[in-house]
Amino acid sequence: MASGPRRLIGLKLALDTLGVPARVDTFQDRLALQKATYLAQAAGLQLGYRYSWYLKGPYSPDLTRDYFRLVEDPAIGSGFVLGADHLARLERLAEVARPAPGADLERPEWLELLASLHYLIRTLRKDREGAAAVIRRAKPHLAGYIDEGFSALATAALI
Amino acid sequence: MPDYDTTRISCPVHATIRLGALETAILNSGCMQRLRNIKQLSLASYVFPGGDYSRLSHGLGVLHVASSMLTALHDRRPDVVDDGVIDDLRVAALVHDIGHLPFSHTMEQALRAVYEESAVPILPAGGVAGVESEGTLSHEEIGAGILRSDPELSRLLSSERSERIGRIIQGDSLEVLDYREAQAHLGSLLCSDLDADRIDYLMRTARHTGLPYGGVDLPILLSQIRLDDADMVCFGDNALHAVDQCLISRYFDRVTIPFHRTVAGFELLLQDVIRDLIAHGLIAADRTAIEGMIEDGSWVDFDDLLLVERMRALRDRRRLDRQVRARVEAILHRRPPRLLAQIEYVEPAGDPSAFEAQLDAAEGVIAELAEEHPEERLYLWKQDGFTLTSLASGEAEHGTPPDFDESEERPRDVRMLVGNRGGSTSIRNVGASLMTALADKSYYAVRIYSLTPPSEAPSRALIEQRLTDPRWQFLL
Repeated sequence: MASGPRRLIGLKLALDTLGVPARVDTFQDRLALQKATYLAQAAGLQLGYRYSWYLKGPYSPDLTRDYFRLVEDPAIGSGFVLGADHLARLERLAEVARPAPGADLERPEWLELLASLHYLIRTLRKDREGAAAVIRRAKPHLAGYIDEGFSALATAALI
Repeated sequence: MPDYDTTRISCPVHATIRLGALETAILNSGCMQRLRNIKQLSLASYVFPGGDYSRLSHGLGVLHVASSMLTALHDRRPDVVDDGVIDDLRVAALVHDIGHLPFSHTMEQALRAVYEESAVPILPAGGVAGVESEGTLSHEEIGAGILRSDPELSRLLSSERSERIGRIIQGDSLEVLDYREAQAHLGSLLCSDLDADRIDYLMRTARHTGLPYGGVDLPILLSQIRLDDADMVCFGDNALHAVDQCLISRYFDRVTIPFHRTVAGFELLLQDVIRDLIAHGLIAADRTAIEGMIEDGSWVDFDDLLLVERMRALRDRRRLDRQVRARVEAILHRRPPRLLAQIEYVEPAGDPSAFEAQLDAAEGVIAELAEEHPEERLYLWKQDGFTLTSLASGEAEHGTPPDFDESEERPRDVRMLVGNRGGSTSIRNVGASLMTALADKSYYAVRIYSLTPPSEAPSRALIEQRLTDPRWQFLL
């Protein structure tokens, strides 16, 4: 389904606020876009992307169309701003959207961890131990950072 | 395996469909019976009179196909495909469309345009924030909400099971729904490019419309369905051409039925009429309204019939905008909008600029005509890169980007066994498949419709002057 202009603008402004570049050149770029957009919605920005859990956590096929559009038209979003309340929420999220100090993770993996933990807790209604067990089983490369991930989500008031 | 033989239902597509006791009780619930009054193909029956089957009969068909696939897999791998997962996937198949709105996808698109665009909290720099909508829900989300909250279904399914089935129909991997690791990929039987939903849709639509494009060689698919060495659902070599045919059939089905010039024109009008009904306070379907209908039980009456009744109520209002009345009557009395011009072509994906040039030209014409004929309501219809193979992925219309992760970014591809070592791969990678040649091709189209009678037709000269690409057809 084609996105309306407001959704694309909202997406671009959200990514800008989180400091995630609208790039699709590598899988890591696209992973970061997927998970950052998920977290922006979790923070209350209604963009209307539907996510379900594939292999690497929450993933939205709808979004794939739109991030190619952002790349094609870098001017999307210019002349617009986010509403103050939503901007404040995203700025709060931006503070934890970079790997925790000492965490030996690239940013896309950090975002993957946060988005996955949030989805397991909020959407699938697992308790913390249940969510951690899924991460340890399905994403062993992130298993060492689960506590830091929970802490970051709590700081951003997402759990 | 349980015998699932409490109820037998005759079906024009699958002969006999068998249901167990729980499935029979679910079928008899108000929320399932509501689907008798939701047409699967929305207004396609305005052109294909037989194409008026319901989402109830489709749900039964999906259960039948899913069950046949599960049985075939159980026969080969009973250690993985056990009774518990079969029970759940059969129920999920039966209820997978339980959250569909009246007129199905047409209304869903209209609601997204009405509620979700305004829900995005943006404003011009220096501007003042307006009133925000709270958005709406997809039919999968509504379905999960019904399973969670409907009192009748709550008596039949435990809350844990309702939650699990709700997540299955929303497309979550079974891996995170407390199934065994070996069962992680079985959800693809209901959520992939060639799943039970699509197979029944193709067979049922072909049967009811009388069109020959939905042929599915179900016996060969069932004989060749497998789990690979990673327990992913795939098909053996002998099903290659049957799989190709199904995927190509989806293209022919799409361009023949929903993209049919008259069907597509009616669907455009219907989207406008749904917006009119919302604007005039005759229906509400934002998130709160839908949740309220599920809660108070009025959801069971929220069907095609109710929308037609509301359209009649709108038409009968004394003071009503002329254009609104015209389009409501067009839907109620089957008066199709006239196709004025169209362009359609198939091209390799990857460069949207050529399509955007055609779209800009059409939008320009509509803007000019709107200025010259403000009483006119012109409609723009577009398809910006529908992939020929129906292989789902956002990258299809833009070409495959570098560093592509097939398992994550194309999770719904049909998979084929490779050699005899037990591994599988996307059908796009199988040299003998048509998909390798067609997967990067897309269908593009732009159309301009008008609801104005021919005597008031807008200027043909202007349209022909502005739309200069020789592939444009003018049908004034």
